[in-house]
Amino acid sequence: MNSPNLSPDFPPPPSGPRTAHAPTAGPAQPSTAPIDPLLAARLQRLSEQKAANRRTTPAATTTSRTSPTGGRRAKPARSAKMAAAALSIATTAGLATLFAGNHAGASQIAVATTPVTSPATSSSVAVAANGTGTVAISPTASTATAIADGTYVGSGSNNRFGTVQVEVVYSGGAITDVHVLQSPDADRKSVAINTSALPTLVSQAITAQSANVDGVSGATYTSRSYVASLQSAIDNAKANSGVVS
Amino acid sequence: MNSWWWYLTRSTGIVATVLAVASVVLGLTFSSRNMGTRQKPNWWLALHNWLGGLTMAFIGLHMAVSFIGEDKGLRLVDLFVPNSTAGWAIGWGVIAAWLFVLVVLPSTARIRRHIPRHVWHIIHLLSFPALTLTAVHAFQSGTDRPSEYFVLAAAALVGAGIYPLTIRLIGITKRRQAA
Repeated sequence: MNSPNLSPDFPPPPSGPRTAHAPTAGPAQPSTAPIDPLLAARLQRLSEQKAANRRTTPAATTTSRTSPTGGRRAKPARSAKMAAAALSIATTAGLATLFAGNHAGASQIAVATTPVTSPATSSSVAVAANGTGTVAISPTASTATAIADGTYVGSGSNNRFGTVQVEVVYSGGAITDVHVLQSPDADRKSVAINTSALPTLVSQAITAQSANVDGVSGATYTSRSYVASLQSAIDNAKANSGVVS
Repeated sequence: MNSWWWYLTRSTGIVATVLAVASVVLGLTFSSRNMGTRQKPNWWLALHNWLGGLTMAFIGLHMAVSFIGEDKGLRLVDLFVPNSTAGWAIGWGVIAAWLFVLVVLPSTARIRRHIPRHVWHIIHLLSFPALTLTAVHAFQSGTDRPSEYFVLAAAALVGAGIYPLTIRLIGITKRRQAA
C-alpha cells in the first residue's frame, strides 16, 4: 500500500549502506548518485540567492548601521531626525528675530509719525523716516509754550476687545499722570492682560512725556488703543493751551 | 528682555504647531501606505515618532517661555488648568497640550505594549481634535493673527493636512467596500 515513489523529487533510498557522508572508492559509491546531485543543486540555488541578496543591498550594509539580528537599520531616519530638530530650532530663532525686527521697525515708524513736544526745553524734535526705514532726528526751533496745568480727556479708541480711553494730567507743563477711564473688561483674559499692561503703559508715557511709548508685548491691541487715546488727550491739551508744536 | 520671551513664546508656538501638523501628515500618509518604496516603513515610522516627540518638546518650551515672560500675566495654574484665570483663548491651548500628551505618551514602547491596539488607535485619533484646538488657540490668542503671512501659513497647513486625510479616508472606504 505504501508506495515509495510519492514524488519524483524524492527517489527511493538506496538499498546499500549509507555512504553519502563518507564517500569511499569502491562499488557502493554509485548508489548515492541520485541524491547528491539534487542536494548539490539545491545548495547551489541557496548560495546563489544569498549572493544575490548581498549584491542588491551593498549600500545598506556599508553606509548604515544594521541591527545585529537582521537587515533593518538600528537607528532609522537618524539624519532626517537631526535635520528636523535643527530646522525647528533654527526656525524658532529666526521667527523670534523676525518678530524683534518687526517690533523695532514699528517703534521707529511710531517715532516718525508721533509729534513730540518737550515743554521743559521749549523745543521740538522733527522726526522723519526715509525710504530705507531709518529715522533721522533733527532739533528744530519751536514756538511751543508750556501746556496749562489740568486734566485733559482723550477720545476712546476701539479695538476688537473693547475701548481704551485715558485722561492725561499736566502739572508744571509736564505729564504727571495718566488715568485710564476705560479698558476692555469683557473677559478675564483681557482683565488679566490690562491689569499687567496698563500700569506699564502709564509709566512709559510719564517717562516719555508723550504718546511715543514702546507698548507692552502681549498687549498689542491695548497698547495701540492706549497710544491713540493718549495722543488724542495730548492734542486736546495742546489745543486748549494754545501750544503750537 | 521681556519682549524676547514674548517673541520666543510666539515662535515656539508656531513651530510646535507646524511640527504637530507634520507629524500627523506623516502618520496619515504612512498609515495609508503612500510613502513609496525609497525608504522602508520603519524609517517613516521612526520619523513620525520623532516629530511627535519634538512637538511635545516645543509645546513644553512654549508653555515654559510663556510663563517666564511675565507680560501676559500668566500663572503656573494657567498653564495646566484650562480657563483658570486666563480665559478660554489660552484654555483651548491647554486642552490641546493635554490631548497631545495623551496621544504621544501611550505611543511610547513601554506603555503601548500594555494597551490593546484598538484602544491605542482611538487614543491616537485624539491628535485631530488636538490640532483643531491648537488652531482655535492660535486664532483666539495669537498676536500674529492679523498678519497675512499667518493666514497664508494657516491655509498651507490646513491644505497639507487635508490631502493625506482624504487619501486615508478613501483607503478606509475602499477597504470596507472590499470586505
